[in-house]
Amino acid sequence: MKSKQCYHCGDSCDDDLIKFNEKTFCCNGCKTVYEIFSENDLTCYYNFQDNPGAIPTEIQGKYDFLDNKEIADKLLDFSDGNTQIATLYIPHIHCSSCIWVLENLHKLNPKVSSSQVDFPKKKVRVTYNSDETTLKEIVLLLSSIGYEPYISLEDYESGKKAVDRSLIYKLGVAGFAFGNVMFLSFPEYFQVDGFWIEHYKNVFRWLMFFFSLPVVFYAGKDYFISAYKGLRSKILNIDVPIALGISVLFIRSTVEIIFDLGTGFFDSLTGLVFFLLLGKFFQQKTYNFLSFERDYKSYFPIAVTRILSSDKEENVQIYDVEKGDRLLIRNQELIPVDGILINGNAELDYSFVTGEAEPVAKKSGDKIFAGGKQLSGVIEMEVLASVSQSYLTQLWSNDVFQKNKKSHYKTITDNISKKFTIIVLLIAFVSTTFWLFIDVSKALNVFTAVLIIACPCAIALAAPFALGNMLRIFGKQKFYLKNTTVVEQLAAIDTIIFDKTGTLTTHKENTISYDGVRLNNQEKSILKSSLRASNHPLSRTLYSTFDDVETLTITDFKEVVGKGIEVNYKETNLKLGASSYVKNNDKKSTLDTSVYISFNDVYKGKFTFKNSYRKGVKDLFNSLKNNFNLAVVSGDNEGERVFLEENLPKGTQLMFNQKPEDKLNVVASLQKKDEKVLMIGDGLNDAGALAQSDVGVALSENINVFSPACDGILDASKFNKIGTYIKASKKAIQIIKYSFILSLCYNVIGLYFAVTGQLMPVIAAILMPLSSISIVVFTTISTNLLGNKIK
Amino acid sequence: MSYFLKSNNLNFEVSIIRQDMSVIYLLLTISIIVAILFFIAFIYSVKTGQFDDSYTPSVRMLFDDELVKEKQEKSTLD
Repeated sequence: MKSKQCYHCGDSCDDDLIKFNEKTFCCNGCKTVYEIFSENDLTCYYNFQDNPGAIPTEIQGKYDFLDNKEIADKLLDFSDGNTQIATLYIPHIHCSSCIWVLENLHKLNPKVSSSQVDFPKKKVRVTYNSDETTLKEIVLLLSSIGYEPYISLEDYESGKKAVDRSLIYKLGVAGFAFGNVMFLSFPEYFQVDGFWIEHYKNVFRWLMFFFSLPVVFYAGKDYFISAYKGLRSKILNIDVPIALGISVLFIRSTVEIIFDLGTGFFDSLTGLVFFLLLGKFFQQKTYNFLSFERDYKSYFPIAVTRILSSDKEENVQIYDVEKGDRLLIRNQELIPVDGILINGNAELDYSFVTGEAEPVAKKSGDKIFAGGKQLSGVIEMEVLASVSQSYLTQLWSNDVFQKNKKSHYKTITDNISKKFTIIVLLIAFVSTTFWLFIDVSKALNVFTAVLIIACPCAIALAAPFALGNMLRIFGKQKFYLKNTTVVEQLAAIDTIIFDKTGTLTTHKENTISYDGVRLNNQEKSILKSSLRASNHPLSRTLYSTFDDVETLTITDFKEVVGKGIEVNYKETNLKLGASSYVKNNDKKSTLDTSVYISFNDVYKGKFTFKNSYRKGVKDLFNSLKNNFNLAVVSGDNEGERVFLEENLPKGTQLMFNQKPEDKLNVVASLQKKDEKVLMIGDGLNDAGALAQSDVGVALSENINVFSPACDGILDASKFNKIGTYIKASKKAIQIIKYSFILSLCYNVIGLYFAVTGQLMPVIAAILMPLSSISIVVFTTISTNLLGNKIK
Repeated sequence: MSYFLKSNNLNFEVSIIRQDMSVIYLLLTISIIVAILFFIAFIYSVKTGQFDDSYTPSVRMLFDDELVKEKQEKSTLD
């Protein structure tokens, strides 16, 4: 039978097919969402995109904290009278159907007056009447149709973020002035040597002067600030010659029109600033739906349930949790603080912290650490340390998270601008001295002309356009970088360090091997049926491997949490689980994750689970080994050492049992040897190393979920392309170097006019845009060609 | 006579320039006012966030049609 797809979410639904309205659904959740939509005339939802939905998750009690007015108010953008506006982040937003249904929320809840989706940010802005409905009702409604909002501690803190639009304003001002000044300078370009131009030139000139004022003092002010900062720390960055050029242009032009010496260079001045800002704008590509600065806050819940002495519960904000409090943690909730388990059986998934997918079992009295996700039922815990004192959050107090990597890095443009500025100043002084002997009246003229024409507009544009375009090309290839500097740093890498679990291996697939006595069909059937009854992740994985085995009805079933399960079927007794529980005679202790089985207390064998390595790991290492130093740093034990030594090229360093701090130190010690380190990791345990490395790339199976702070996020499916991406960045740097040469040619032509004392405003007005535009065209075309190659 | 003619001619030329002058000032003023109006419109649209999300409106624009179509379909069914 051909596998059928769920009409709502697109999952294959072979096991439990639900038919409704001649459509197939994989589960009751999906069916319910369809029912909600069809009752409200919203089935249009399924027309824009096939299977657009998501399975609604179990949310019972999860959003009770929104009843707490103080917490709910923090999430609101706006609240006045009975109108409230809230912006919610919904990771599932992915297609036009999503936009459509979310903007029709008012059909599902009439108290919602409007809702607006911001697709790139995956956010929906809901306006509603707070007298008749609450934020909680809206969140529950969204969750019930499969659009569960993601509310984290980060939302509580950031509040309303002001959007920085200053660059757009500046670009607008410069563009506006540029256009008008161009238009006003036309009469004098054509040099109508008549009565008319003599009469009106002053009007045109002063108008140009006034248009250029906001350009110099508002739009261009960043260049002066940056040049000043550079000079103060004794760096000749690219903004020094630019600021020099802008000020000389402005002063000379103003002097010229005051003393009626000429038209001035207002056209070149405004054009220069406009093109420079255009470059900055292009460079500023941001991935709104990704965050590169995440810390534990975006992962922590906003509130938890506290148990009061009198058996009452209340929702408290997480920062208000104190030592000695008792907390109630429900299924799928996160442990926010360190504590002791009081009641219930904990099954904790620490994959965010350690990268290890295997859940850890804890019993009452055990110490539990913040960051784990509870997987089985409700537990009670006593708090040992507040949020800021917990182990996980203290990881963030390390210095590496405080300093800004970018400020230390000298870009290729800064490097060339140092030589460039010195040479230009030299030429200016030499030619001025020369003219002092020939014609004193022209000396100052030549000096300023050299500084004007040598203003490195084209050089300043080369890197933003080339790297900005690379950023976009990488983004299309699912490799998202934080900013353009990362591309440059990537090109300089000579050492690559990989994390093992979650990076070289994948959580998605497991390789299971059986070691022991062969099982007969009867035993297999009992085993499979027992696994079916268990909720443990390992049981689930093991169950899926017995495809062709019949299942039996099991009645006598006992699960001992953290140990295993025991089943009695007719005369057969089956035990499976941890080694100690099954009491096997297998004395060989292994480091792998295994499930042991015994029938009627006779040990049969064990199933060993191994994370399978991603496809192409071996090829990737082989292709990288000639150009880079390679290392694998793992927090795991040495269980995989032999396998890795056999499969990875010789010379690859293998380090095991590395704690998060150790990983950071490994990176730091390599950097001391002047190596440029690329760290590729995935979990919070790599966060320190990612921050310390020159380029930290987080590998992610799903880019919308949590990833630690990093410079770039790589989709796991593109893992084997890392080598190609580094090569492409190197080529991009080559392209920038070629465009430097090109723009130097323009500078030489311009300098010829300047040094010989015949620089007319019209020549400057032609040369400057011409050089800028040809650089933009050159870099864009060549990086696009490069982008086609890496596809 | 000839003197009179000459001076008259001169007066005529001056008056042309004067008229011309007022026209160029008028044109400059108008063009700059129009430009500034557009500039203010631009600043306003940035300030109200119209440039923040350049993708969703392009999709939203197509929905209204779909909705109308759906309604029409329903009315014909009824």
